[in-house]
Amino acid sequence: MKTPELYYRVLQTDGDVLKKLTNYYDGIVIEAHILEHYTNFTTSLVSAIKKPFFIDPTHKLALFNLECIAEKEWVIKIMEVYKISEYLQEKEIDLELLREHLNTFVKATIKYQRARLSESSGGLKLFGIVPESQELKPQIILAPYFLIDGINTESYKLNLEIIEKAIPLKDKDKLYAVLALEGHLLSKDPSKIISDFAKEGVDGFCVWISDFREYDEDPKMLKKYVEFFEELSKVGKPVINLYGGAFSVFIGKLGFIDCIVQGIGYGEYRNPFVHATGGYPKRYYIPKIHRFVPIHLAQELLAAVPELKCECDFCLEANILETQEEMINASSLKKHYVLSRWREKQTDFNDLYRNLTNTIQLLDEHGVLDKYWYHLRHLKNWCEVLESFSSERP
Amino acid sequence: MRERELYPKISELFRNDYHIFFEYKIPDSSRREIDILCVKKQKRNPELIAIETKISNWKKVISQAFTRLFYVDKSYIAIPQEYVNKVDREILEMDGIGLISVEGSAEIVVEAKKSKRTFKWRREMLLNDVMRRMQYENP
Repeated sequence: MKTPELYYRVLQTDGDVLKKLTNYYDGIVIEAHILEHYTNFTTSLVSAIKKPFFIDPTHKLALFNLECIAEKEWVIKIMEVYKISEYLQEKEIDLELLREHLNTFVKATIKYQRARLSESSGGLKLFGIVPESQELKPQIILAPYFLIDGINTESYKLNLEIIEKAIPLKDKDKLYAVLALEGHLLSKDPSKIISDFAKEGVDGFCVWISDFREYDEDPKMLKKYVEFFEELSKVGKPVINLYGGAFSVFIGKLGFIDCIVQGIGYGEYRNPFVHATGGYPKRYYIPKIHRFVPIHLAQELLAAVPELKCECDFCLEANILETQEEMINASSLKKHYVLSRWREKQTDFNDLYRNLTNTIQLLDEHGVLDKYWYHLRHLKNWCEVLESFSSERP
Repeated sequence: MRERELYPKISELFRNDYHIFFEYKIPDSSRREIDILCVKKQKRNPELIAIETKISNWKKVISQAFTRLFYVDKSYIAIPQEYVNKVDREILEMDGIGLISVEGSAEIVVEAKKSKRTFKWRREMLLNDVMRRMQYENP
């Protein structure tokens, strides 16, 4: 049975969950801007959980135009470290200047990933924590990347150049190429993109399909999504989905994705054109329907279909059916989610698929499938796409 | 015809015994709005009725009326008379949702049953909000 690994993106608010549930995930991903903003927190977390990690170096810089974030302190810091501050012209990265100094930029981002945590671990000694140097070494190195808006476009060529420059610098590390693609590229033949990026010296791939929402996409796009990962997996190198949810777990069980990255309760998709701020709202993950819903909807669905209830310790603690939203402990919701996702990962594909069809039937029998169609329609879409992979297909 | 044009005729049905509120925003994170909220004119534990209106899409309005069952004692849908026969009565029956037909005047075609789905705290939250509003509007 194929089992994808689960990595969580780190937020400063999730330290407690990540420390307590170390048996229920495989590793973490640290975004460079979080590392800059919460350096001590991140370093001590990595040291405490003793799990593999890697750094996502440029996900906040994936667009050349940085208008919304150019003045943020962490952007200024990162750009200085990556030695590209001078290429920012009117809040936009000057492509020509970047190209001229591409080697310096690539070197700096790789050095950052290798050394940033160990360089900042000095502060921990004050608290009597002396992390081993191996603990602070990333599992893999990502080539820096920008969002690709088309085949053979400037961004496409630039990403390829970056990878070529990164390969000689990888030394003994594993170097992963990042395919940060606009969603419309899924409709194109993936073989061209894959063959261009599968360069000798690249040890694996990270994929980010911009703003791809597994819950909202229609079967046609979902099919393209699966086909893309299937094709990429044929290269024979590990594939990491940088933003994926439950549907990615299904794809992972088929052996097309080796690792899925998401946040705890967020980050199952990401639109680089939107810069979300503030905390994320409380949501409850309903394991049988494989998605988060707002608390008020979760209460209604669980009341209408008691079979959807989860009996884990965290759900018993949160008691969401009898508790007003503002009184519900967010930490319990997060822990329940981490546990649920882990159980999904441990379940065989055919069992997952059978549960999906059973859930649709259950919801229909209780008369809620139509009533909450917007929040449940993904189940039918997913079934339609995954049916051909199930050994139980009619 | 717009949904709002149905409101006066429907409220005639309840006006004598209930306080009537149009497009009442539920004070929680759901951002839902009850088209017509009726609150019985009695001091202790007044009955709450929600009425959702639609000009044509009766399936959608049943979904809305269903979600109101978690807040109030009774829930109705109200639609123009010409669509009343198209409504699947079994779906209404299953959840005890009532049906109001609107033409020259409004008429209750199917009586709503007392909701078995009401969350006590949601009902209290809504009722407290109504009481505050009534106090504010009629001190």
